[in-house]
Amino acid sequence: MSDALAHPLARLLDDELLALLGRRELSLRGTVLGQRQGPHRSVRAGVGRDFRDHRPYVPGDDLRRLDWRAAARQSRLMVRRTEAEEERSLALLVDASGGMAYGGDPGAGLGPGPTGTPAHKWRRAGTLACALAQVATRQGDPASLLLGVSGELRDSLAVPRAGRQRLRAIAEVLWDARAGGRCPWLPMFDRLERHLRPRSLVVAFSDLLDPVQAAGDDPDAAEAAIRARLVDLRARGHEVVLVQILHRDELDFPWTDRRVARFEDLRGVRAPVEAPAGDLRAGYLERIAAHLARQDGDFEREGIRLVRTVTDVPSTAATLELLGRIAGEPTSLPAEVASP
Amino acid sequence: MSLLAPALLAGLLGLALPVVAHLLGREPPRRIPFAAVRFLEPREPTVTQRRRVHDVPLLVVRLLLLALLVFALARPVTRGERTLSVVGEPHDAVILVDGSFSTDLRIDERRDLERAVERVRELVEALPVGTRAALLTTDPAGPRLEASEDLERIPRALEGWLEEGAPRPIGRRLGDELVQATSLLPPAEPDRERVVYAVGDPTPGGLGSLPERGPEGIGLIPVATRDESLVVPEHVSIDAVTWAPAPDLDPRAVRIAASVHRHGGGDDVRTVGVALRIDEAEVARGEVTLAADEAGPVEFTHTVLEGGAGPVAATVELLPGTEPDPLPGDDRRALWLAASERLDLVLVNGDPSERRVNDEAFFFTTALNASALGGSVTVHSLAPDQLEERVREKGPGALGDADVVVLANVKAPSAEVAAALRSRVEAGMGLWITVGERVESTAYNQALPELLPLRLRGTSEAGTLPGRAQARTEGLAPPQLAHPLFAGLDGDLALSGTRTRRLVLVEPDPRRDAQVALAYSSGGPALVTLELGRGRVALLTTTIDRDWSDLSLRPGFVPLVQHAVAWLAGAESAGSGAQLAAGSPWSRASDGPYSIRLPDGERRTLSPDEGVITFEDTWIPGHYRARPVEAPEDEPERVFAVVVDARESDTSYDPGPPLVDESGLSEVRASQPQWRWIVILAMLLLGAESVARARARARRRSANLPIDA
Repeated sequence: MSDALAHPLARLLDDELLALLGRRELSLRGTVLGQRQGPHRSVRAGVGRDFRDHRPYVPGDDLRRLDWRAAARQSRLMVRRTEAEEERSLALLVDASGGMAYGGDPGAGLGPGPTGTPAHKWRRAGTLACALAQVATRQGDPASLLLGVSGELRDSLAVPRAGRQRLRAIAEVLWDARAGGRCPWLPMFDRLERHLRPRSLVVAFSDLLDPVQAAGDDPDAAEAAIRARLVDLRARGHEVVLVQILHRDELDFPWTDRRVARFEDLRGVRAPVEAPAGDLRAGYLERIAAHLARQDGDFEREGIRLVRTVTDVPSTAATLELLGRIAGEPTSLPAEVASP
Repeated sequence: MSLLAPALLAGLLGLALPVVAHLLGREPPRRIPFAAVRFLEPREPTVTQRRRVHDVPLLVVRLLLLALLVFALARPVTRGERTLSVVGEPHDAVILVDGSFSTDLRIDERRDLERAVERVRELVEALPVGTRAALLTTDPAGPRLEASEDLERIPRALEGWLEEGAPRPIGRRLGDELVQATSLLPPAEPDRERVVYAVGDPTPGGLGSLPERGPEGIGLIPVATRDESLVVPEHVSIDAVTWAPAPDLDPRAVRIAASVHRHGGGDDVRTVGVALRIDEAEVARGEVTLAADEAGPVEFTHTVLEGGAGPVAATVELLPGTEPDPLPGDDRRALWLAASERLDLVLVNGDPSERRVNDEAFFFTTALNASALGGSVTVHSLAPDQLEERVREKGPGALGDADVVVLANVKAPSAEVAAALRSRVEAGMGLWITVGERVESTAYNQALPELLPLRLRGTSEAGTLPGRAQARTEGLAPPQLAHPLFAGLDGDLALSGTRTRRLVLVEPDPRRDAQVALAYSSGGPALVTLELGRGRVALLTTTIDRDWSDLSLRPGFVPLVQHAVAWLAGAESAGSGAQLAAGSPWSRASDGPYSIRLPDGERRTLSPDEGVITFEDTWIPGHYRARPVEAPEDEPERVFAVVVDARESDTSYDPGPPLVDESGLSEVRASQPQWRWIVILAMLLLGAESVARARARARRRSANLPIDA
């Protein structure tokens, strides 16, 4: 089957990545409180493989769970309790605003990026989100997807569902959408909360560079509003991970000559900036570095995991990094801003 | 005013470009869609597009400068009063430019040659598109261009020629160069005219020397450097300087006679001072009073010192007058003086007669003694058998001292005499053959096959010549003044009335390098010359007594004999006769190299070519000294003087013959380029631009704006 006719799932997750994901689990740093049995450690004792403790037998207990050795030691009937493994719902929030439409991916018909780098921010977001969905659905966890593109909310997959059909549906939505315009963050959170199951894993994908909704909005305030909604989700027991997808050009600012360049806002919100590109570089790098450092501090303070990934990192490495960070491991791929 | 290239005015549209560029022009910026525009903050406002003109005066001045440039490229000209006649259709042409000495005449501080170049430029601009033109000048070292449609190269070549110092003291007449000029014309094509435009000064040696018609099938259009309305200032020249021994005063005394000519002038008389210089030191002064267009003699006497080291360099020159002479090149004339310079002439009289009317020797010696050469020629008369006897006894050395041998009505010489004559002629002697009843054509052709300029075809009665059945005698046409034999001859020989009843016919032979110096009115050759080796031969096809012609009775016979003898002897002469016209080569037999000192002191060393030294760079009038490089100190120098052709001093107005056929010609007004005022205007605008720029800078500096203008 040619690439053009392949299912979006196969186009977003190549064979190498699929082979890698087959051996991985979506393990979480915290516990879950799911509706059905699943692979995640629950706050309750239940049917699981990992030993938890013993308790005295009470009528009604499953006789299969009697621990005869413990009964012999305690001289009374003891029931062996294990960690309950319950399902955890995966909620994917994906920013498909114009800011994500940067970079290039000729195979996806997106064309080369301004500096010729092939990795496209939007395509990388789709790959990572689809990879998480693939692992989750393989574990039997339900998954949902909310997409904010061109000022609109795409919520056809807002209700969590498990199974391969949901995975394929998520891949189709992510593949078909074209990033552009603004992302309606607050309506997206509102919609999410209507269907969010307890102790879900909420993963948001965005570059989080300029989340304003209109010209004149304060970008810091807009970002603070998003952060507040994520904190709120965290406070309600959900696991929250924010994946920040950046392009190398945004960290290096490779335009160093004195030719006049016209920088146009991909979201169509801000006025273009026209100047000799080389004159802008030092100030830009200084500001973007300060911005990212502040974000690191703000999100860490609020207990929200911020996973920053750069599109020139191979998709397999980026996926492993994301799974590791979700499991509570430290980052192995720091994204550094270039020196002026 | 009109424009020669009006289409170039379309370039004015280009004026819009700086305005548009000023308002809109800038390099379109690179368009870079970017997600983090929020973090881009220019440090200071950058002017990337200027839509308002800041310095209107500066822009206006620069636009005017551009407009002026476009206007200049369109070549504005005004049409003057002067008109040019050119063939109206594309044709093949040769532009023949007179570069002779007379074009050095200065009128209103411009030389005639400069005017000639200007006329050529006007002519080139007036020629119809498609015309192919070649260029020739009368200066052999001047530019010569083959025919081409690229006409612009012609005035360029002439301007380069002017910068190299043209004109030189050349005595070539414009009319004499016509044949060479026509050789530059491309082959004839149907419906395409062939024309020679002869550009020259309206003087006898310039346009006045042109014939009424061009060669067969070729048009001739004279173009004058100036018209009659331009007042030519008078000038004075020294036309000739001769000297002769004056034994009546002193054994070593010489008389020096100069002919001073006033050209032009008004009703007044003018006294002209003349000085004689010996070895550059002034030794005598004289005066001559001249009316307008009058020539007058000035005579000096001088005693050549005993024991001198050879000939003495003498110069006769005009003293400066109140006004500078407009043609100064002919105000000096050089000559060499020697107290005992003589010619030896052997006259072989083949038909001696008691009656003078039938005696060649009588007429010849009488004419020779009456001429300017009379005092310096020693004539040795011999009978033919005496000559044969001496040759038998002494071989070719029998003629060893003779400068010229005249065979007057002699039967064909014997083989020994013929060999001796040939040997001596090749060594530099002159030979003059005159005919008569005793001359047998066949015998002459066999005896002197190489010495005869042209082979003889036998005698003929004048009345029986083809087409001349009604005439019983032949007259003589004007002499070919271009022939070197007549160098220095001013005007006609007055021989047109000569009645020749009988003559010897000659066979035309293009393979022989014979030249006709004098012809009968029917066209037949009368005096034919040939240069053989280092010597010269002349053949007169009639008698020099009364037998066949009354030539010897004509006044022109004296100068004819004088010029012929001087020319025949001139090849090897080293004394007073060694006066060369500027540009004429000097040659001498030698096996070794010669050192030649020029009048300006420069020395040249020449090596012989096949036994002959030839020095051609005789362009500086004055005294020349030549000496074999390996000669002993006491051997006298060979000397010669170079003089300007006196004919070139004649600047009287002579526009030549009028145009014979004016059909097909179009009158074109000469255009005068209007560069001067454009240059002045451009300079003013450049000054204004500087002022406007300075003001703009000051204004920007005071406003603390970047200075970019």
